[in-house]
Amino acid sequence: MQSQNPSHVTPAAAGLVEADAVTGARLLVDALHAERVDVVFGYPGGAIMPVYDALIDAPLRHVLVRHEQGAALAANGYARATGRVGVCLATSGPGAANLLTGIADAFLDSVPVVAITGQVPSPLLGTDAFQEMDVLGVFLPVVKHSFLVRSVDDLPQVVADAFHIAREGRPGPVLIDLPKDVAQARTAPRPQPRRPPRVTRRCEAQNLDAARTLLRESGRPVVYGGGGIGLGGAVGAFRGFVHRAGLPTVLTLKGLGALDSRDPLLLGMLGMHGSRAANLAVQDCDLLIAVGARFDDRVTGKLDTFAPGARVLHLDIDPAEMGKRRKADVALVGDLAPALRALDGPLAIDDWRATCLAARDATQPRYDAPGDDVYAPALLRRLCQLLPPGAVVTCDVGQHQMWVAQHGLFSRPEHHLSSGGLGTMGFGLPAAIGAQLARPAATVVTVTGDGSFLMNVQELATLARYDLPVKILVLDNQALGMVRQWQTLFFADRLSEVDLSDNPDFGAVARAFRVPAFALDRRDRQDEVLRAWLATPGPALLHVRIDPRANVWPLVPPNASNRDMVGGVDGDLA
Amino acid sequence: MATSRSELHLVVRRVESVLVRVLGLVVRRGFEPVGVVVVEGSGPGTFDVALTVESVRPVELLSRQLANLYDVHQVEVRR
Repeated sequence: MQSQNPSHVTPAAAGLVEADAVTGARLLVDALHAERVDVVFGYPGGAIMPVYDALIDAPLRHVLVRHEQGAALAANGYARATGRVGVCLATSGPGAANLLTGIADAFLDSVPVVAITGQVPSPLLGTDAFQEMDVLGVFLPVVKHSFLVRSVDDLPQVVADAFHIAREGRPGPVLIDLPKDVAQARTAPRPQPRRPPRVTRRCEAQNLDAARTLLRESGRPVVYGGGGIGLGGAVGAFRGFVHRAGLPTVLTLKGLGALDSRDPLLLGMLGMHGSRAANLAVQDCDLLIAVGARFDDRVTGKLDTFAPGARVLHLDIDPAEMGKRRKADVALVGDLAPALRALDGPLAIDDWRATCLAARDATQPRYDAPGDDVYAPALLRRLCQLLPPGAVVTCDVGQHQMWVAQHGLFSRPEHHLSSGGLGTMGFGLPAAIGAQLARPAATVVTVTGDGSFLMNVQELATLARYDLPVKILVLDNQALGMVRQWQTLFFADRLSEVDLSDNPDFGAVARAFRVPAFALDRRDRQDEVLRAWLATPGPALLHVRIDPRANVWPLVPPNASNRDMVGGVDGDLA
Repeated sequence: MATSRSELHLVVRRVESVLVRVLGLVVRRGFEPVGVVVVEGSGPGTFDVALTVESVRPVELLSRQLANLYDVHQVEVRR
């Protein structure tokens, strides 16, 4: 914590520094090591230089990115792929500013990340010094907590607290802003910091009884599972509950993988680009069981039309989610796993379940689009069929992201890394770098678009530098496809700044970074090229030209009810 | 929906930026602070904060968000 008691004289302040004194920077890297950090993502600069000096001798791997946004998103991907805290480092001012997008992304998706920023020396704070920015102030809206370290003696406890806060309860990012003089100050080695124990939060017993009553009284229940299931380590308990009670289930973008994509009770993703069967089941249900989900606007469509006849049973670790967007009839606030294990089953809902599953089976997407060109949904389905178990797929943001969610096959939430809350174009490649370093034995693929890819294309240099075997699939429709789709549908086809037909030669770009490249533009070569690309040792890029007119279906128009979705009916192409 | 006025009493840790942290969250979550009184807390190292806010949103949404802040020890809604 910050120095709170000026009368407390620390060893450094008193000048009683022993011969084995260490610098603040050394205390920091030792504290990271004590948190079992094995890799940090960062980029050096003036105010963080003492830390980079200490890193030379530290038992940590530092991964040099080529833009600080890459560091924040790589730490974000590392954390999403493992559940462990991701760590990124940057200098003051512009370095810290460049972390912001990746930290905001972690905040909206509840990802445990610790960001460490150098800061100008304490005496210069507030003087408009070179590369000074009020980092604490700028990051306040997008962090779970933040520290400005005023005394070197506080550092070990600050780091221990930052890691604890990042991972406990609802996870999230924590900032440590470290003035250069504090990093350079010397002090006696510090005692081990206090580490609060991990506490299981159990919901109230009377609320569990009320939840069981709701379940018993329901004839048409649906489970609506979100990202909290994976974040809370509750996948096993969630699957147990769903199957014990025989509940039709829909998942959010971030909940995908909480049930296996092939699970017989899964109706699909719900929301704006959700499946017709999933959205209609939610609209028709009489009990909506929200598990680790937050009634996001992309899920609900027009809120007052969402699940209009349903009572709501809401399970979440965060009490602030209760009633934020939809009133809960019963709220179970606490760790998901013990709450889910305490709920009953089976329920006498055979007819309702059969109706839901029949609707799903009748509205399965088709993949036999006419023509010879590559059909993106079919390509992505085939890709997922070819991937080995445990493969991780990261996405960027846009049409390709929705196609991955709709047509990908995932057996665990941490196998599908997608920027849900912030919708960060440029997420995919650095997140894949983080995931690959976290899980070196896994196959890691990033699916990106021609717009998103150029947002963090510089991280090809990081891939090449560390020879990370990430496979990059660029779906190139020569446009900002999702914006183009919306302009076509909702802005009278008045296209504004969405044409990307002057894209660079993506294969040549990759090769300039020493990343081999493949190209695919015909459907009949799809399997052959996918296999060759996936079998390439080290990183490899596959550039795929797709139809620039392709749209994502189904779609709930803006400010409409999910019942009024367009597309996704029997016989439609995917 | 009509705007309503609510009063909250907070006990917060007396640390750097705590008031900015509290007021920033109030505004970001859709509440307008119209009165703030901060005094030395009765406990060691704390401030007592009396906060009057206006919003169309229910004040419980704000009080739960405030309670999530690490430097906030206690939140009480007084209408």
